[in-house]
Amino acid sequence: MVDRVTSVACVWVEAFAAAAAERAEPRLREQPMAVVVGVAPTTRIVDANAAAREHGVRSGIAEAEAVARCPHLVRRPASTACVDAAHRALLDACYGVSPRLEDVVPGLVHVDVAGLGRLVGDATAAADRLHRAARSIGLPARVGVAGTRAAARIAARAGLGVVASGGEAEALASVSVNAVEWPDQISEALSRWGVATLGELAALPRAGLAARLGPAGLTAHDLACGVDDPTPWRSWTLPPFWEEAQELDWEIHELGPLMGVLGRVVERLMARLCAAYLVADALELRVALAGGGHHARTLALACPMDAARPVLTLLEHELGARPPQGAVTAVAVQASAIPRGAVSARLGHTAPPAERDLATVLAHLVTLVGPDAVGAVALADSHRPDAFVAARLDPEAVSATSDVPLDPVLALRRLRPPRRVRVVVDGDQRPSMVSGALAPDARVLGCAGPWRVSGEWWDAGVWGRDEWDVALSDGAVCRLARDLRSGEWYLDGVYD
Amino acid sequence: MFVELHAQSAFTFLEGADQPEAFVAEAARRGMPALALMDRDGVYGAPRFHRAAVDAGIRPLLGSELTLAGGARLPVLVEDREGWQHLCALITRAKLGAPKGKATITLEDLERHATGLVCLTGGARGPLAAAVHAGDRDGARRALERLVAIFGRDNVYVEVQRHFDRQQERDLERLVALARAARVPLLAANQPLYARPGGRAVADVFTCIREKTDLDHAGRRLLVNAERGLRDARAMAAAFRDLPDALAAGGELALRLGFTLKDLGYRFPDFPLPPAASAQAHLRDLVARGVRERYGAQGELVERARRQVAHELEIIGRLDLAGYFLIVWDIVQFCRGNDVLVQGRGSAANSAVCYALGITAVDPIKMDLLFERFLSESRGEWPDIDLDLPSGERRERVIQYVYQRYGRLGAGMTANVITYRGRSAAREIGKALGLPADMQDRLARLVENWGYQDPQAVLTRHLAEAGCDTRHPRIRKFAALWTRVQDLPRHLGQHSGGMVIAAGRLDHVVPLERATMPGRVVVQWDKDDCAALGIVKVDLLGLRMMSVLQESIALVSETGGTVDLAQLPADDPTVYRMLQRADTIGVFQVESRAQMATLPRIHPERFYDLVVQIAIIRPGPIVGDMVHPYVRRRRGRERVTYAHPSLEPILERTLGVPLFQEQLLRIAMVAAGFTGTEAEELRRAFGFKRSERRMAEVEVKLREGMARRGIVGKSADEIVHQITSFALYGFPESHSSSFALLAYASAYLKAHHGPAFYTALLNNQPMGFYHSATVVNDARRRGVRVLPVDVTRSDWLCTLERRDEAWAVRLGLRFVKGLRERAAQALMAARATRPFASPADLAARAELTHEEIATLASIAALAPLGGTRRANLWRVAERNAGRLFAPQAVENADPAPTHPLREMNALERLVADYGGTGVTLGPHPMALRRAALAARGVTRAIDLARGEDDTRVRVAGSVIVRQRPGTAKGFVFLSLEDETGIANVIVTPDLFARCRLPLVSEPFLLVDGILQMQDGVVSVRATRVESLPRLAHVVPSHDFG
Repeated sequence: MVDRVTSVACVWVEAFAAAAAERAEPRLREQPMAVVVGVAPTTRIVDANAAAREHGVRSGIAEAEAVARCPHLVRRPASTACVDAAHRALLDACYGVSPRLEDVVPGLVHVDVAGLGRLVGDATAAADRLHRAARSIGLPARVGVAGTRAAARIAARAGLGVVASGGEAEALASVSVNAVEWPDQISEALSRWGVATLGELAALPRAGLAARLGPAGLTAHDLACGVDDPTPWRSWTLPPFWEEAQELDWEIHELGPLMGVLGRVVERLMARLCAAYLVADALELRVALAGGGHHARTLALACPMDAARPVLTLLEHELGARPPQGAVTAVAVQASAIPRGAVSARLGHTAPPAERDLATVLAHLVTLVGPDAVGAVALADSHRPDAFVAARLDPEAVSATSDVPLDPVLALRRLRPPRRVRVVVDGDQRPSMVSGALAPDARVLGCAGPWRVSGEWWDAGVWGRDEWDVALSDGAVCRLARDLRSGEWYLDGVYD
Repeated sequence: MFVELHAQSAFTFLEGADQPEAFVAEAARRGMPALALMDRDGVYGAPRFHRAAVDAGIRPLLGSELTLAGGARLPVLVEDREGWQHLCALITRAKLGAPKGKATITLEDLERHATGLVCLTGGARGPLAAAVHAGDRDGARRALERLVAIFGRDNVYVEVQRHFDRQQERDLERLVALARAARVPLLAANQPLYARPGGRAVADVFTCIREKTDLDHAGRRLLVNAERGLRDARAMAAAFRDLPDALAAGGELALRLGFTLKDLGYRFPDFPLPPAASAQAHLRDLVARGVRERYGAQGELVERARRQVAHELEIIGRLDLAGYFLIVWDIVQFCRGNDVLVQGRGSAANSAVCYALGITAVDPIKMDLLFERFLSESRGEWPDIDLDLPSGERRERVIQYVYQRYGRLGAGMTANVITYRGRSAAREIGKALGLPADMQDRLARLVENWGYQDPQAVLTRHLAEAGCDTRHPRIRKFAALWTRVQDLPRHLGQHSGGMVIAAGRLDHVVPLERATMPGRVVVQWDKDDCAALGIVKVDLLGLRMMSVLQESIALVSETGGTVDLAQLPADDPTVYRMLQRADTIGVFQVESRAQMATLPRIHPERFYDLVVQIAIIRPGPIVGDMVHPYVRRRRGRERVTYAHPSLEPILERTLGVPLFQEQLLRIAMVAAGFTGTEAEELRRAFGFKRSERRMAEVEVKLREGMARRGIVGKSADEIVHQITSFALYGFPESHSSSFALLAYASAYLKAHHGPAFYTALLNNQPMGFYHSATVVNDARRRGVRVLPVDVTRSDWLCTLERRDEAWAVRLGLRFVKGLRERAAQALMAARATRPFASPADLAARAELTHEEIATLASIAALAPLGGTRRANLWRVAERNAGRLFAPQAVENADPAPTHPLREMNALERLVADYGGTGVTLGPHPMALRRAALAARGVTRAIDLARGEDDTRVRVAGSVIVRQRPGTAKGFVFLSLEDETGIANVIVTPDLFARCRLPLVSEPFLLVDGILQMQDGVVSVRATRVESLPRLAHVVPSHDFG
């Protein structure tokens, strides 16, 4: 069933990305500024503020052209977070005027202003209230009010203000068709037909439009007449907010008491998630510090969970490794939640280790050796001997068998780290005497080599080494390695 | 004695990392007696390798690494000429039988072509490698036995390599055991991929490019170490001390390999001759007939012509070139007999024999041209004859005739080796180094401005200035690698027109490859390599102006007139008046902005002035500062002087200013007593491929010669200066004369047969300097009526139509943007069956898309079927198939349909015309603004000539040309078009810097400036620039081309 709305306000912020950037950085209002996106040299302008638009900086032009048009143009990279925050603030601001909102696109909100007479005043007063509300949060909005959403949107864009209910078509007649963002097909047709105003479009025979442009033509005609399409009003409601917080009456200086408070906060949060059949995928911890500062940490969990205990262990390790720089006066934990079904075990697969065990062990290891040194070891595709990478640990992928073929003839026992030795070379630069290997001094009875490997000449990690297989007078058969950059010799391993 | 028999240059595309010449230079430095080049599936680098090696005193050995079916690579070396022929045939077979860029050969192919070839078993990618590596002794033994069976026991060597690689050593032990067991000799090689230090880095980068990855992710695909360089005997002896027989085998085998490219076995095809006639006698007969036709039976000119052709025929006879001339004559005859316009250009125009044979159209006797510039006895080169042909299908017909005449394997296009240069090199290296995409872009833009000879220090400075951290190892490597890869081959392309032919099979001389264009094959050598090896080349070059001339002449004959290019009046006053006014849009070679700015000053009055005009406006003469002295002398502002009185007859025609290469040759001949051949050698010594040593030698000889004739001191210095500076810039008079003929012919057609000329010109767009819109405006200014696209009359191409007792140009359907040629042909076919009753009928029968019919409606091409543009747009937009396409719609067609739309105004029509066809036949965009512009004091282009020099003026127009020539020291030249003509604007570097954006991007400009009038050249030196409001269409312009 379609909700009837008899008086709608449309709150629209022109060049919203630029407006959002200005809201985040108010001093930008004083100068020409544009929001850019893309990688040089294909960087393009997303939106420009009024001062920049005066210099001819428009959406879609290349950044280089924009700078040529306006040499003092300040550029800011497009930020989804900034736009989302501004839009959320706009919704909040509108929510303060009327509880019935429709979230259309960033920078555009429909507000049901019917029935606000006693509370706010007439339509003009409501428009004024909305305008002020937006301005109070740093967004320069335009407001149009009409009997339909379509007419209200056009009224906002065209600066018509309040349009009397029932008189939409008449009020919109003189508005340029360019005030509406049409689909390409409609826009091309209007351009070819020389249709310049909404009045001219409304005057076209409806049947003729249907025959030529199909349903899109009828929609365009409706829009020109200020008639809404039949989509129902999708009311915006405040989203659930997965956060638990605790303000303290005292200052906490030590980790133990802080963990006690955090335990209660996390348990509350996890209980809520459990009740909603959700699990936490990531957590954000914020603590307020005495003196006004803040300390925030984001924790990516090894696997989604709703158990409080492992989360607390992680928090304890995190805070132990990077403690807040001051006494704590408040704590808040916010969860990024996902449905529980997304992580259920698959039939026929070995169950992964208990999440709390895995998370706890990993957290311990990370604390000890750093995040880059924890994971599953995999051979790197490199000529560098023993080169490996630490891949993300996936318990399901761990296999007991190895694909590495074993040499049936000879096994090399590697010394890790290799032992530094002294080597005397002969006239052909071949090793003839080794000191400091297995025995104090040993003559080289026979040797094979050098086996030369080098790499990463393109970077700071350039390396190179010669390897020799030597039979020593003490009976050992060893692998010697010489670092080609330092000239040092090493006992790399012993053949068994 | 060790000889490296498996070197691979950068012609093993994306593997080898040095030029063949670099290998030779390094081998020479290390005292190596011989070297074999063995590139993959080709002998691309063989000629360069051969030349360099012969110069360096190294014996060049040749072979190739053939890709076998299954991917293994088999190196084969050429022992004798038969082996070379088999190698070329094998590669050709592999290349023509596989998609472009791929090649595979079967063992059966090898069996048929093994004679004269010696096979090595290769390295890690050889035919034994996989089995040996896997420890499959039986498999390896069978593979080796198969090779022995194919090539013979004496012609197979088991190749062993040592790159200090542990795994390779294990394989080597197995190979040695295998060879000993099979009694096949071992041969040591290093298979070097580079000759100079640092080559490993380039090879690794090439691996990344080939594998489409970067250095951080290429892993084990990169070389294991830096041991793939060229090793000399000492290094190899150290590495193979345990296998002395393998080491010695290379040297012994090298002694056996007797083939060199001198023994190519190339033979020029025999021309089919009349019974009992020799080629020379047949040529003499044809030339004699030609001389009679060209010069008549008697007179002073014919006597000179007879003497000259006798001289030329004698040289041609001594050089045994009669067959070559006959073959070129034969191609020209084919063109004449098949309605293909043809004209020889270049130095061939110096030859009276070429003129008599109809190969060239410039009379070298009358023009007093110098034969030695074309052909010289001592040069030992084939003459270079370039034939200009109409572009497109006609030229392809001639190329296919050559294939048909000499066989698919008897002719081929010459190659064009695409090399790493500037931007593309920067981008590929940046990508291989894993630099971020934005950094790659920045570097690519940056290197555009680098001279490639820049030493590394300068590159580093450039990088620093561009904000790159030059301390970063990758940035330092980038600079080094970018410099290093310059000019290394990337892949093989096709030369635009060079064709080589051979008696018998060309694929026995040089391998042939599939070209991208269907029906073409390309040889593996470029034109210089072919020329150096004595392979005859004929350039069949496509020239759009030839198409224009040919089409114009055909159109003139359609209208009942005739034009014979050979019989054009020599000094037509109308043509020269037009040239003097610089009314030359569409005229060959003299339509550019710079030519137009010089034509009124040079004021051509006869054909030779046009020859000068074409030669003088080129970067060389401009940089060499020859333009101003010539113009000053031409206008009588400077006295005509000569460095020495003996030069007067030579330089008289060009007022004492040397302009042509032929003059340089003659100066050397007259002043220093050089022979024609010596003079040509002098020109080459001082030409583009200068060598300090050769220049010094030639200068000494020149001064000695002049001294013998008493020319010393200042005169001698002046002559030497003229020759040394001018040799670099001079233009061949013969070439300029050939171009001048085409320029004159096109000017004649423009002046006397405007409708036909403009029709042909529009049909050959894009070409020349101007967009179609400018050509159409020019035609209309000259009184030629241009009719719009009309679905009831227009063909695909523009046509002539009789209107009001005059011929008019009807725009063709090809001008309708988005209209498919197939749809247009369907439209024309449907129209021929019966006239269209309505747009719906048209759309249905021609099967047009909605977009196509809408575009036709918007440009009024449907108007003859009834209705205005908007009425038809409304009609054709109807989507209901039943109503649009059903037959009753045809029956109920309404000639004056009603519609709810407003009719188009003038501006909307203009926008629709530009949007739909790129040209408008309505008012010029500036005419629509004229009232407002007049109110602002804007002078029309046509009125500028009535102004006063050095006064302030304001002009406005649509920008049709933007030029910033490298020779103009930062000045920018604009052409602003209005409804009356074109105004030329000069922008100083300062103003350009201040107003860069409007100057480069705004379609309509208003310019305040100072009017400059010099020798009839009118221009405005801009002091202020302002953009005018845009219209809703794109204004076509020729920018910075």
